[in-house]
Amino acid sequence: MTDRLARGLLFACAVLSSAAVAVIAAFVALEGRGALSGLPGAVWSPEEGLYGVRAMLWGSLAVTGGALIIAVPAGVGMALYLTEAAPPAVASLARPMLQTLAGVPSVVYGFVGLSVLVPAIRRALGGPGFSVLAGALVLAVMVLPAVAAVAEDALRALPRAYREGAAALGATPWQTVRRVLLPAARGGITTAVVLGLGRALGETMAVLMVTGNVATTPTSPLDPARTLTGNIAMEMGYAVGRHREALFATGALLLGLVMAVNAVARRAGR
Amino acid sequence: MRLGVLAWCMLLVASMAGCRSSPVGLQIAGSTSVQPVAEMLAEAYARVGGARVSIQGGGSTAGVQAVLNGVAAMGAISRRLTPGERAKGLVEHTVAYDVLTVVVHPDNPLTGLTRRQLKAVFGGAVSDWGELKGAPGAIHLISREAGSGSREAFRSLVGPVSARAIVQNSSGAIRVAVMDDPQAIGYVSLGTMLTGRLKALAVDGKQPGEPGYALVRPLSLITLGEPAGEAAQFLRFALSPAGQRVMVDEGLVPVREKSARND
Repeated sequence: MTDRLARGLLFACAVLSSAAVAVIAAFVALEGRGALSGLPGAVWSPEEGLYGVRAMLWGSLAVTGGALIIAVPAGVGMALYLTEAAPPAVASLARPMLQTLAGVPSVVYGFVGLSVLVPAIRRALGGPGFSVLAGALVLAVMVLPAVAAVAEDALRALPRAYREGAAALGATPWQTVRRVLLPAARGGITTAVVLGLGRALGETMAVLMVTGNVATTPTSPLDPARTLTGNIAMEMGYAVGRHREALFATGALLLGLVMAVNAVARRAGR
Repeated sequence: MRLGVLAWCMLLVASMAGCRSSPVGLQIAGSTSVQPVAEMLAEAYARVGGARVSIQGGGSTAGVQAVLNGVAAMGAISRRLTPGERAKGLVEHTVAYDVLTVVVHPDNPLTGLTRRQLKAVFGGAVSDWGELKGAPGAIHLISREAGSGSREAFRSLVGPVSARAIVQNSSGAIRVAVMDDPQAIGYVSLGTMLTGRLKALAVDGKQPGEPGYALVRPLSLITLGEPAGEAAQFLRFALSPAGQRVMVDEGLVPVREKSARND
């Protein structure tokens, strides 16, 4: 009896969560349907009634890609160090620090980025400082804990026999990592990358504060850029009519992008 | 599962929002530029025994929407109503004037620009400080996002803003951006400017706040039809000497003084 009740409750939970996704997707697509046709345009200018998000798509991809280029090697490296090389004392210090990093609210990252990173980039490299680079750096720090934690779990889950076998064959630690551990943990590491990618694509506040939000396609890491999420967050408060539809259409595009990423990840993780 | 919880939270919030529109006190929604002064005004109003007034930001256009939908009895806007909005029965009551200040880094040698120069700078026609007799270097334009009351006001008072301008979504963020960058130029309201290490530029030879200064915008409370009940009382308080003193304390130009000057 209790079993059946529990099963029913769990089923209700499952239905509710999948229904929430479906409802949100349907709502966003429905609200934005009127503006979908104008979405591929190159110019976003609500004041002139132009709602093309091509520049923002590139902005999102540039900032996200930049963040992953920094965060994936750093995160996987960190995971390798923690599982293979770190003395227990160091590992027990580094792990809680990583977890703390994951718990810092995104506005805090944004504010530090705005007051430290942006002026530093402006002084060192020129330009306005508000840039793809600033956004990528802030995002890299934000996704690093997730990437490192998932990659560490993947490496830790590998059987001891892999390491022992490699050692028995006379492999150096580096050879073990490169030829045995990383290929064996590929699925888990892919998951780590996708998790980071998803978080980076969806992150809004911190990026909005440091990228300058210019709705033109960035051509250099020092150019400012506007992301899809930043576009929605900045203008939703004011938007009415077609403008509002265009922001919902932006959201639908973002949702589609995340779904595509997840689909690719599921295939790659196998 | 997590999404399920989220959905429940959303339902909960939605139902709470529904409760809040019950007629206890007065609801004001609208311009983030008016919000700080409206809050001070509400406090002063409560001190003299007025009803509880709750104030929400969201922007001038959101305020207009809220009043039209009946979510708020009163809206706060930092621009004029459009003819279309007036045709829907909205009435605006100007309670103070906000002074838009063009700000640069304190190290910038410039002390003033003409309105024509401002239009060229913010429109993107002039892109180097050297062309304005400043120290040569690219001009970094900092602007507000489309739809913000400050940007609307700037557009109508000066001209369109270049698509290449950096966009920051609050006066505070503009202040930080200009404070740090000797090549930056932006615009904020005088109240914001007072709190930061920024240099205000004279426009057409007039300092901000001086009579005849060009970049002035009205801050208004709006109602659907003529104000009645709580809204009428609050409006009366805002225009009273006590209410206008709050405006002056917040760095705004009171309506009474303005009309006295024009006489």
